[in-house]
Amino acid sequence: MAAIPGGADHAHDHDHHQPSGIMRWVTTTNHKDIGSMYLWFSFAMFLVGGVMALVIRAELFQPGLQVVDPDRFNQMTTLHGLIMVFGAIMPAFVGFANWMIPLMIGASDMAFARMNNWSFWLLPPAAILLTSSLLVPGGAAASGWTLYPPLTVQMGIGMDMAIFAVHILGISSIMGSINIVTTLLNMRAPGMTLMKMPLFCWTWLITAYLVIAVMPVLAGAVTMILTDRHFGTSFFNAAGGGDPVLYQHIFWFFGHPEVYIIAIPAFGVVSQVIPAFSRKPLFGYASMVYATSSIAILSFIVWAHHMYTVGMPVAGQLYFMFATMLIAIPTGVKVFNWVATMWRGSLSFETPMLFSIGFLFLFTLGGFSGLVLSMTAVDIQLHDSYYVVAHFHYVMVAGALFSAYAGAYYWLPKWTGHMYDEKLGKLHFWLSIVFFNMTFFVQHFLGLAGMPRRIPDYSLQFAEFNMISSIGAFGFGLSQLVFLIVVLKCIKGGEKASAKPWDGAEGLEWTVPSPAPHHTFETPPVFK
Amino acid sequence: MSAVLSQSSEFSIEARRNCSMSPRALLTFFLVTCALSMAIAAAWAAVGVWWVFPFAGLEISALGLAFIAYGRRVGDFERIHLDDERLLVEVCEKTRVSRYEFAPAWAKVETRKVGFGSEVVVRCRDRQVTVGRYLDEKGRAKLARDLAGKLRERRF
Repeated sequence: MAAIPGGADHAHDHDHHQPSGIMRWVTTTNHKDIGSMYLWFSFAMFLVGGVMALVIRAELFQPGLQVVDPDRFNQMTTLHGLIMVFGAIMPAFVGFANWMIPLMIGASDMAFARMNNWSFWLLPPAAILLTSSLLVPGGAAASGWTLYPPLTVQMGIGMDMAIFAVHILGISSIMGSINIVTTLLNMRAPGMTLMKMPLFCWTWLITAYLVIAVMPVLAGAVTMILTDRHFGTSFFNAAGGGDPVLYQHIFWFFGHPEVYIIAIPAFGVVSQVIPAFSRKPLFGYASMVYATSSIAILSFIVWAHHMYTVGMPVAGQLYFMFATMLIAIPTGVKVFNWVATMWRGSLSFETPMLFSIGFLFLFTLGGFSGLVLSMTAVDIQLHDSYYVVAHFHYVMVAGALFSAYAGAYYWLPKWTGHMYDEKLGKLHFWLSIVFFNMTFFVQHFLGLAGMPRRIPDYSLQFAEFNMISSIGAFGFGLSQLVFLIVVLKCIKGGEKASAKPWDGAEGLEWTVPSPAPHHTFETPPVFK
Repeated sequence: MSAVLSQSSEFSIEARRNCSMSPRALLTFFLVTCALSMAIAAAWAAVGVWWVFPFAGLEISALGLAFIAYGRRVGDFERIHLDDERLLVEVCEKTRVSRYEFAPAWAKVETRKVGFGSEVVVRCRDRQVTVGRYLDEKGRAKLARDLAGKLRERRF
């Protein structure tokens, strides 16, 4: 797609009329400032959730109880999941959306700039609620990120704090999604039809739609837990005639689309990066849009594959098995298109491309282990084992996180005005991919050998693989500090970035100078 | 925001806010979203999970309000018409139309630097109106040039 900015003037870049210091960030309505805040917040939460993961892996380094007691261990697994999903990965992609969507569609800002500010500033209180729940009597929620009853009906005030935090995070997501949908539908530059939007915008339109569709379900589910806990209802409490399995159905009706809420923007980022470093347009643009939409639609009808062991009728199991397998088709289309984009391209392997290829390879592996788990007979054997832990980390970490890094390295020159340190970026990639596989690949073997998840102690037969996994986890965790160094160095200085530092990059965002001026596209460009 | 321009031999120009989706399409999008969200809430209510309903209602209301808030600006426009008798400027904001009439012999067009860009002002004695807000910098400069030229023609 070629784009010509129709005389949009970016010379007047710096705003002289806004507050400075801390108040600039508190009161800002600028999409770039808010995007930056989302990205910093998500990285901070990624480190907090990562430290919790390291506590878990330290405990599992060898059999026996060494570091934390079992109750604290369960709290760590719960908060690690909640923080990584709601505090790290989701805000990271909302950060990308805030920064890049207006630039990509030629809009001056998001449709509702003040609401955008609110959406962000709801996050820190929620994060404080979640993390400080470790300090209250009874500790934090310890039921796993799925918050299954009856455990959740029995826990202390930490559970209420988690429910409240989930509500706040949900409100933030909904506000963000409404903003994104309104922006994408109404504020595209003249000439930019829906089917000419950059794929990242398409993936966010679909993601925002998913959020709008499923967030009320999560809100309803956690509110019902709250009323069961404090207001005498028995929705899920078997002692009062309730049905704990019903909660699992509700949660996963939200939870499976949630997986795609995380993964689909990741697909969007990779769909921007791979063509740029292949110096070819994305292969099969329309089929990518339809495949992404198909994945989103299918995500609504496969939820019970997370709960084959609760005692479903065989017909139900068969239905969910085949419906789940169907998702492999549009996902295969996407993987095929990414590979076809690279085919006979003029490839170069800068850090964003390395992370994209890493994403492609590892996400495909995670997809394959997902296919294994989709088979009811196999899943019943592997349910709640480390095979499942390995599977979803291949999808979430190698999928979402690697893609987020690809995006961050790709757009860092646009954000900061400087090129990042390529050597350090490549070091970050290679350390990450080696230690990631060291941590999680062996967990497939642990799961196949029968090690259950969410246990602080284990049988001696699992010792070696756990030791390898723990060493890998510490290596992976420390490797992420390299990224922090790269970003700080890039902000501080470095080689000046041109408006379009990647020769294969296409799109309106590359027509504005680097760093992107505070105000861009005050009048929309003409898109051809 | 951008503009949809039309210009005839008699100086006449209409500029509209850029909006990439028509109100009808936006309404269709909203109704489909509403139907999906309510269908999900109804299905859960049917098995006793009625708590989804109020949240879905709140959320869809918020989406509707957002679309209305944005949609109120969709019809905004600026219309400038110049003939031998008068210079007419119509500005529509949030469905409120303001009309300004000037005598061509006395009307002036000025370009002013404002903040980071410029604005075009049509002025006649102590009355003035800003125009060209839906145009980009080049478009505003052309508007000021063309309109000033046409006014000059009528003056002599």
